[in-house]
Amino acid sequence: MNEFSYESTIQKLEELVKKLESGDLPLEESLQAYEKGKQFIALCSEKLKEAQEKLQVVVQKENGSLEAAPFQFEKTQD
Amino acid sequence: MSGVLTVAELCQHIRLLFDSDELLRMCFVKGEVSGVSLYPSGHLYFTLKDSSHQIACVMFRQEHQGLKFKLKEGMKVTAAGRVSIFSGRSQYQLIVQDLNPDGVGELYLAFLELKEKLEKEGLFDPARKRPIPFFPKTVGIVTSLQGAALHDMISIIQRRNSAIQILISPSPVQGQDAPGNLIAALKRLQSFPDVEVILLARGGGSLEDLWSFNDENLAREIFQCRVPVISGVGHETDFTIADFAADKRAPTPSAAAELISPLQKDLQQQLMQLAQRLNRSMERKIQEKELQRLDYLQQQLDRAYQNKLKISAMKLDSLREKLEALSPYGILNRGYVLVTAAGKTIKTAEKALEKKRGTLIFADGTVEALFQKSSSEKNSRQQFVQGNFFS
Repeated sequence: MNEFSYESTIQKLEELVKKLESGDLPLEESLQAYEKGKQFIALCSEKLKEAQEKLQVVVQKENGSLEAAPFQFEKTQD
Repeated sequence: MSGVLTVAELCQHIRLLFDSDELLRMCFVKGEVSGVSLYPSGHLYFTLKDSSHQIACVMFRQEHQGLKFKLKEGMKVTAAGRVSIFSGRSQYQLIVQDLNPDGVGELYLAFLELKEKLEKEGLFDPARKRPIPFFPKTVGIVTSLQGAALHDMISIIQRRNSAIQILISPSPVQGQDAPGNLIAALKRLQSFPDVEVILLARGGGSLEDLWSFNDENLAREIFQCRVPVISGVGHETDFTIADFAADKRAPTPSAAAELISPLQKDLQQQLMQLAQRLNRSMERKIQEKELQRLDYLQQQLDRAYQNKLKISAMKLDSLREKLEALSPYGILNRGYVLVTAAGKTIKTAEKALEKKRGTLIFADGTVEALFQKSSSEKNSRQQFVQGNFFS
């Protein structure tokens, strides 16, 4: 399972930063860790960006298949 | 007793009849509550009814204060009490001494039975509960389109984190068909691979309203759901079978929405801090390395410079020795004199006579001198000097 999880990525990022901050890593490995950290940050900030279709509702089409359609509250409510 | 009775006499007679009847003195009545009204006196008035009949009831202050539930409209109860005539108005009423929520009792029993059964099967096992994703990309919501709960949940999620997508799978949340519809709505959401967590929610209502969430098959569907399910049914004090089967119970629909929507600005801040730390530590690393290299170069430079200095000093020493060896002062010390005129060395007597005056340089100073031709011919090669000391 290679699914992206925000929380675990942040955790990995924290560990990596701590390692770098300790200063024990050789330069070569530091550079690798740094590059990886930048990737993690890019992934996470990508996820933080606003989604396109934020609100959808499941609708069943005539042939029985399911579909997500944009959702809006009916104006008559409230 | 014969003849004409007064109204009072008739009423009292009827009252006696009622009071002496064994059944009426102590009876249990099953019915539905309506018209509940609490009087300033503290007495509780209501009507018990079934489909075709009704009877007025009163429950005196000291009795109804001991009740463990709140008497509500439409509630099915069993009342214990006696029937008596309020003789002044010739109306009979049930004077209730004890009340039991009949309907509730049966429902509650069924609830407990089901809970025990599913618990034994392991449906509520804490070990099988899945962790709730901290920041899901897509959240599925199963609830009614008509309820306020949906509105609340959507606005909470969108306010807290606009990056979260919401997929609504509508279903009625009360009534006989509700459990089957809720199950179908859950199944529909599971066919969307993006959905990472499902909120199963319903706003507050009576026990009967919430009853659809005590369905056995619904509990099983929650149990086997592909993704974690958070229940948010009714109010904080309401517990349903769905709550037990869910991976997490939220006290209300709003609380469920909050559980899966971390504040976006917190996340952004956290990420920014991590990025800063990453950059800073890397900069430091590079700086350290650079500084080390500089230190090393400095050392090498120092060493080379010192060597150079040493060699130069040695060279200088030897040159100085050589120079000293060549120094005219060495000769002067031995008693020789250097003759100069106008800053030039005079090497011959002839030149000296030509210049007539000059400077004699001794080891310890100089003397101005006049040159004269020597009086002795024999010593014509020798020039005598007459002069005064100046220095």
